[in-house]
Amino acid sequence: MARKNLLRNIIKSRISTKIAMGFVIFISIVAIFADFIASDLPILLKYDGKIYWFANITHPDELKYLDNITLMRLMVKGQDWGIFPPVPYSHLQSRAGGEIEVLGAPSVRHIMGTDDRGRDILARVVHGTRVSLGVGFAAVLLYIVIGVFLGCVAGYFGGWLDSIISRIVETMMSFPTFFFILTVQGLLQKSSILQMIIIIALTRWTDISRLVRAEVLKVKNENFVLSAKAMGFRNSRILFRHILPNSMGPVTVAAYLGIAGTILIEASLSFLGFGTPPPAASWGEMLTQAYENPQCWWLMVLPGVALFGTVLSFNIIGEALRDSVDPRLMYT
Amino acid sequence: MIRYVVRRVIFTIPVVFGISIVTFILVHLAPGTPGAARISTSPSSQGIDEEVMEFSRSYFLHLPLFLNFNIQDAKKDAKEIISALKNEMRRDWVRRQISYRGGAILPYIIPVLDSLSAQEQEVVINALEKVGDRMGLKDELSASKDKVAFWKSYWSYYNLDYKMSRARRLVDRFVSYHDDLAYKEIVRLDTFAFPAVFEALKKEEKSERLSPLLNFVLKSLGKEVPRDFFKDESKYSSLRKELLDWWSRYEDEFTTCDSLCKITGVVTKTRYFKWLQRLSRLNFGVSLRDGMEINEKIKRRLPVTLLLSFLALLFSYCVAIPLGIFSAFYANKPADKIITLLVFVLYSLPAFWTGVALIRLFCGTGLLDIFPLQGFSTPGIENLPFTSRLFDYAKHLTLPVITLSYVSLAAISRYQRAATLDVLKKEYIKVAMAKGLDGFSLIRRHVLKNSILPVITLIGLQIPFLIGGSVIVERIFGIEGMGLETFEAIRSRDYNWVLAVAFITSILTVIGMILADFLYAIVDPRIRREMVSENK
Repeated sequence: MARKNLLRNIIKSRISTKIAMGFVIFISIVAIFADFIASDLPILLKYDGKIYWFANITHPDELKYLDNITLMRLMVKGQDWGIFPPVPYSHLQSRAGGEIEVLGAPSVRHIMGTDDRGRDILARVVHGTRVSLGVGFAAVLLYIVIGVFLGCVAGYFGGWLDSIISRIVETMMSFPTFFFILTVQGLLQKSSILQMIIIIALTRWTDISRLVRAEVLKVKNENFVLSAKAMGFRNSRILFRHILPNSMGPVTVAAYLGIAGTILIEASLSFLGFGTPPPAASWGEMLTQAYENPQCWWLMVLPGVALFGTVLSFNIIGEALRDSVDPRLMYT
Repeated sequence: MIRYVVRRVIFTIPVVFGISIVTFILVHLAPGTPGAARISTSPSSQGIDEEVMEFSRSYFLHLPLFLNFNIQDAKKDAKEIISALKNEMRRDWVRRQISYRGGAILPYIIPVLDSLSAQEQEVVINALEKVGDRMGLKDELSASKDKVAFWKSYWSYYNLDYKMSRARRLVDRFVSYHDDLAYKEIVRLDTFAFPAVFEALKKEEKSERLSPLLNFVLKSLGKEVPRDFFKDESKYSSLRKELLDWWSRYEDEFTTCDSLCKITGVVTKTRYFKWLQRLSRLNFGVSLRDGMEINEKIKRRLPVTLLLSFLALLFSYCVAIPLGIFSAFYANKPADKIITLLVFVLYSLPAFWTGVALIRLFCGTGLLDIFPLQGFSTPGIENLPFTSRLFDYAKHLTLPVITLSYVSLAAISRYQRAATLDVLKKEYIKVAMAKGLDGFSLIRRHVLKNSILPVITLIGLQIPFLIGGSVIVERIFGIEGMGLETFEAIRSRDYNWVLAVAFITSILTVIGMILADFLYAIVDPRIRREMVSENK
């Protein structure tokens, strides 16, 4: 597989790309195992003669009013034991042994401090990776599917279908993307993560569709397509088996850059208060608090660094891919 | 060049059409209750429901979307009102409807009076009492014993008066000759004369003669007549505007559709058509937040945002182009690598985070206290001399412009670098170098002119980006432009503003893109020749 080697070469070639790849993998692991890194209940617990598996996910009723700190205090030595998550707080609740510390500076208890409702910043950042990456991946996946499909159809069949799709693309492109998403989010009143994903996907597919259309037009009259036609293959087979694989390079680049852009959009929306609905943790929403409480620097640093690092990593990977796929893409 | 311009503008027509459709679809995302607005609104619903109804009415949510085969007019409504009489629960509503619609539905109500039961007749007669008052029939009405017989005889005398052409003639006569007799007759036609009256109102901007007509309209609607409104010009014009606006929304309740109108109405009496009509008149209604005219607000807010975006664009181009050329000249050397990394960092920094950080660093709460915290200017600086005023603006705008521009700056410098690299490979550069041209002249004469072309087209792409970014920047720095207003509007559910801005920003973007294309065509003759010949 030529492309796979290509990808491996890129990763090998540059230190910055290696670091970016590493960071993306790291942040993905954090997102997947967020509940094991930051939770208010232990992963494995023997307490009161009973063993609880994955209490951090299942939240059994018996432990309803307990949390890590209280448990540690209540446990009898030699009899009870447990495996605790490294960050012993949940992203939603502020009770830590019954005490709430509002806007607390970083301390031994809360390494990165607490927010205006006494929630642990580190725990919230850890859980925020889920929202950011989730929205990023899902929206990009969705709009790539839409964009690739419409782009293929427009480029391959041409004619009135092409002009209709092209007009739609032009129309959508004349709406300022972020402004448009903000407007729709605002009009819909209720906001949910799924809704946000769909809106972002529905407004951002146009770039992909333009890209794919141009690529399809390029190879449409190549000999291998003509011979495929001569063999009597169905249009769908020619499109998706013969033409599309040729244009996947630019699409991959656009996907990586798109993830960065989408994560930024989600964070910006949440920053303005129209994105991820509370109390779910989102980096953007955490930065709103930093704006409202300028004297607390710790509100700003960790979410900002996480957001910046993620976006930068995806951008670097995308750019490295772009350089290898087609250096001339810089101009489009 | 002209041919190119014309072509380019023609190509945008479908796009503008598409924009109108998309904003039209957006209207439907706003919570209104389609269908609930017209007849079926229950009589007890007031307050919030009325607001919703007013909103849905102003976007014509009671009309079908694109084609209307079932045109509602006064005649149809009258039938509905009569049939609603059978339902005892709705009689109160019927009573209010009849006295509200008045003369406009008389031609359809009096002829069917006979077919109603005594009880139903009484409801109608009761309701008509108010209408009679307005029509100046009070004395006659109270004198007559059998009200049904009175109305029937009234109708047999005057039914020929209830013709649209006659109403028009009456209003015309009144406006041109100030004929008191005509006025009396108009009053007797009551709301039936509304179409003619509003036609006259639309035609004449300001006329002393129109004020009795305004008076008549207000009285027929049961609204209070403001004292001396015709002497105060601003009062008069605002009242006139308000009434015309009202008429554009409620026209259908008082007019009867003839056969021609029934054919054209299939297209014109639809939600989309009315929406287009409103847009083409640039009538966006009133802000639901503070009752201000949206156009007024936009006039005040738009320059701020445009200035901010323009400065940001200027700043980013002024920095990015030298930066791009510089790093292309030192491609893959340490200087270039550092700039590339820096550009990537800038490109990935979220604007709102940078904005907050800048405020923290430079606005008193943190290390330095150089720049003011909020706003566009210090209040009360109008009296200061020009230079200090300029200095004040500069102080206020530095941080916002930086925050707004650095992302585009990063992107543009990358494009400039790539374009310059491309040019540097060309033969003519080698020739210029060989003949001993110094670096500065080389850049100015050969590199800049050839490499800047693709970068110029990027202006068009930067505009939507800047408009989107202005929401965040204006929110952080408290600048009262379109962005901040939109943020507040979304928060307080000011749909009129949000929809107006969605439309305006997209139109601005289209205009910006066209201008960027023109610019491109001006600096590069190849482009316009290609465009014209390609489409021959």
